[in-house]
Parts: sequence; structure tokens; C-alpha cells
Amino acid sequence: MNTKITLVELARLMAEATSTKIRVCELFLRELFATVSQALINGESVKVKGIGTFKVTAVKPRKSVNVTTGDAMDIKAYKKVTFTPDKSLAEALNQPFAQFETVFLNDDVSDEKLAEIDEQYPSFLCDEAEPLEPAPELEPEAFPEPEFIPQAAAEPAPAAPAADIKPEPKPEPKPEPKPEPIPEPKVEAQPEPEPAPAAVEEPAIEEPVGRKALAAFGAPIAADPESAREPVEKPVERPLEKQHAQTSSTPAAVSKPQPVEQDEEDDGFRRPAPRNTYTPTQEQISRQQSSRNRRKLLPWLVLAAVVLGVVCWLFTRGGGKAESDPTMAAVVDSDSIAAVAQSAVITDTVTSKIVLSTLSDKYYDSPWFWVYIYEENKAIISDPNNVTPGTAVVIPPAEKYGIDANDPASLKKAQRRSWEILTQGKR
Amino acid sequence: MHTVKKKDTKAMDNKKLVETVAANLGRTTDDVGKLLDALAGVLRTRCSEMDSVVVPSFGTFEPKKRNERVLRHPGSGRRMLVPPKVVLTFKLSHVLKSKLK
Repeated sequence: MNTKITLVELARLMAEATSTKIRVCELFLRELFATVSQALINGESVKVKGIGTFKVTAVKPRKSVNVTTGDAMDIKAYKKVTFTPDKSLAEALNQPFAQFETVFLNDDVSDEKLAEIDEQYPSFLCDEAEPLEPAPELEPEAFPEPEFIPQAAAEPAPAAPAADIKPEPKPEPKPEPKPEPIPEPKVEAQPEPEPAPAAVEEPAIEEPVGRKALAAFGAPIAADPESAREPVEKPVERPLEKQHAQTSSTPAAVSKPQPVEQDEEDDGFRRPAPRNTYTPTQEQISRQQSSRNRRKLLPWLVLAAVVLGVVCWLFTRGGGKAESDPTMAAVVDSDSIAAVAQSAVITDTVTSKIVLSTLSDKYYDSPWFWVYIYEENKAIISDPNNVTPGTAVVIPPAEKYGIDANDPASLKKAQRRSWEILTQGKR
Repeated sequence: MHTVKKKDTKAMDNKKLVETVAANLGRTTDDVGKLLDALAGVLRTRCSEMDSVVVPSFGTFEPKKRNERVLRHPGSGRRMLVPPKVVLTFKLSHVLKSKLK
């Protein structure tokens, strides 16, 4: 850093690189620069590959003023040498700042606007966190890393994922999606009491009722089996559904892998969950016949029961695995989420070549997000343009600031922020 | 600064330079070309580390960091944020400067 390299030193470095003698390199250097000098003296411009172009330009004589005395003075004509570094050399030198581009600033960028953006910040964060979630596959064991920086994993990160990651039903679900579940209790309440007293034959009658009720209450519930299998979609729905579907079926299905017989009895209780498995024809037939002769129904019922049992078993095996113990799972899950948020906090070191924007490019795929690294490390970094090499910085998780290189809005926000930071000392 | 741009009638390109140096040293152009490449490589690595290279009686290569700044675009009048950058500057030595006159 900032040392002067003499010709001898240069020769030594060259000799190391080419494994020739230092003496040879030194002679070469002297001869090279002598040749270039001579060419320049002759008024020739010289282009040296990999270094650059030296050009001689003549400067006309002109009159000027002596700054101290104020006297007029003449400046004689002279020649000067301009040096244009070779493109590859220039780029190599500018590598730390290579990602930057000249930006046009909008004249309407004002303090108010920036403040406005800051206000939107929290909600923006939440919105951003949802689509990013890779949640459903989350398994607590996958995130055991205990090393993190606790204060860095502040509230926004864990809170946002907590809402959507949940593969388990939370005992106290978030309040947002409340409107949907409201009709549900009714729907489920209807089918439930009926099949409970009734035995195997009953479902035929009771089923249409459940169906109608379902139709009345609309699509979200009709799609239940799917949504139940994908825990992310409707975290709140699940607890309710589970209460009736799981409580009755899970113990049986889980404890006994092939509980076909049991399911026949169970299936009345569980009807609402896998409703979709019934085809319309089955339904129609059962509806007509139920009024006349229930015995004829039996084969259908048995078939339906078997189908139901299989579906339920599959369903409980797939979905129920994670959900079998809601309270325990919820506890584990909140831990794992904290761990996720915190393990995502990475630290990296700034060097003479790796600056904040380089890090940003590395972790977020765009150099613009350096502002967030800076904000995260404000305590250690006084000047984002001049970070002491060797400084270890915390790389915040992308969700924390809504970082998404593919989202123009996110990029723009970062750019505005960087403009704000860079100019705050200058305005 | 009043500069007169001469038409670039006289120019020494890399090939000519290498040939001249090779002839003066009594080496092949291949050798000289390799040495030149090595020189460029050393310059690149050292200057990237913000070291300056001083060549006596020729000049100094010095990388300098230019801070970012806000300019007004002369044409459109819009403000631009010009990013910071590192540039390689070359300062002619006094010896050569006096010889040029």
C-alpha cells in the first residue's frame, strides 16, 4: 500500500514473474524507457502494450498573471506528455469500483421523498418477505448452526418469516387472514355432528348436506385437501381443519399404517377433509339411492370409505408428519426460525480490493445493496467509501432490508438510499 | 490550457517499440515481448495495491483514487452522480520534461 517501487525493485519483481535474471530485467527496463523517452523527444507518440499510450502534445505560449505579485507574465510554448493507461490496466486498477455507473439524479429527489420511503419501510419489508419464503421444506434440524450475532437478527426478520414459514399450525395464528376461516367452523360443524352418531350407512345422507354447505361457503374450503397439504398457504385454516380432521384421524392413521377397517368408521368424521375425492356421479347416485334403499349403497360406501381411508392415510402421512404435535412443533419451529434468521447473518472482511459494493455484489447479486451492509455496520464504519481494510462486517440477511436484485423497486430504493448516504455530508 | 493537436503522423506502436528494444539489447523480439508482458503484469498487480512505480529520468506511475462527485450534465443540465474510481496517473520526470522542450 502506497509504497514507491523503484526500478531495481521493479526488475526484481519482473525477474520473479518471468524467472529470468534480475540483471536482464533491469537492462530491459532501462532500455525500454530510454527508447520510449527518445521516441517522445522525437515527438512520436508511443503505445506500449499492456501499459498505455504516451502522447506528446504541444502547448501554445500564453499570457498569464503571477499569482503573488499580480504581474503579467508569459508562459512559453512547451510540450507535455499525456498518458492514457491501457484499457486492461485501467480496468484492473478500477476493479473495486467497477460496478459503479454514473447515475442521473432526479431533480425531484428531496428530503421529504426520502422520508416517505423510510416510512413505508416496515410494510415493504413484510411484503417482500412473503414471496421470498422457501418455507414449506423447512425442517428444524436443517438449521442447527448456533453461531450468529443476536442483535443483528432484529425483530423484522424473525417476525416476518414466522408468519409464513410455519409448516405447523400455530396455536395462536396471526390475525391477518381471519376473514377466511370464519365460515369454516360452520361448515365443519355441520358435517361433524351428523356422522358422529350415525354409523357406516349414514354418510350417504349426510354427505350431500356437507357438500351443499361447502358449495355455499365457497371455494377456499372446497380446495381444502390441497391447501392442507401445502402448509404455507393458509396457516390459519389448518388448526381448525386439523382439529376435526387430524384429531380423529391422525392417531389411527399414524399409529396403524393400514387402518382400512378403522377408517371406515372414522371416515364419517373425516368426510369434510377429502371431499374432493368424490366424483359427481358417485354423489348423485348416492343421493338418489339414499332415499330408497340404503343397502344398495353399501358397495359404494365401502368403496368410498376405502378411497377415503387411503387418501386420509396419505394425507396424514404427508401433512401430518410435521403436524402431529402442534405445540411441540411450534416450539421447535420458533427456535428454528430464530436460528434461520440468525444463521443467515454472515460476516465478511473488507480488504483493499474487496469493498462494500464488492461484498454486496457477492451476496446480493447487485453492488447497489452495499448501503444495507453499511447500515448494518454503521457502528464500525464511519465512511462507506473508505472502510479500513481488515474490517469484519456483518452481512445482513437479504429479507431484513427487502433485498432482491431482481426487483427494480428494491434496487431503486437502495440507490436512493446510497444517494442519501453519500450526500448527507455535502448538502 | 491551449493545446495544439498534431496530426498523429509520427507514432511508435508496440511492435516497433519491441523491435527497437530487441535490437538495442541484442535479444529476440520474443524475449522482449515476454519481458514487456511481465512488466505490464507487475504494474497491474502493484498499482492495484495502490503502489506507485518510479522510473528514474522517465516518470512516475501513480494510482490515484478519485472520489465520487456530483456533476451537472452540460447538455441536459441534469445532475449526475459520478462514481468513485481509481485511475493510473503518470507524471513526467523533470529530466525528460526538460529534454522535451
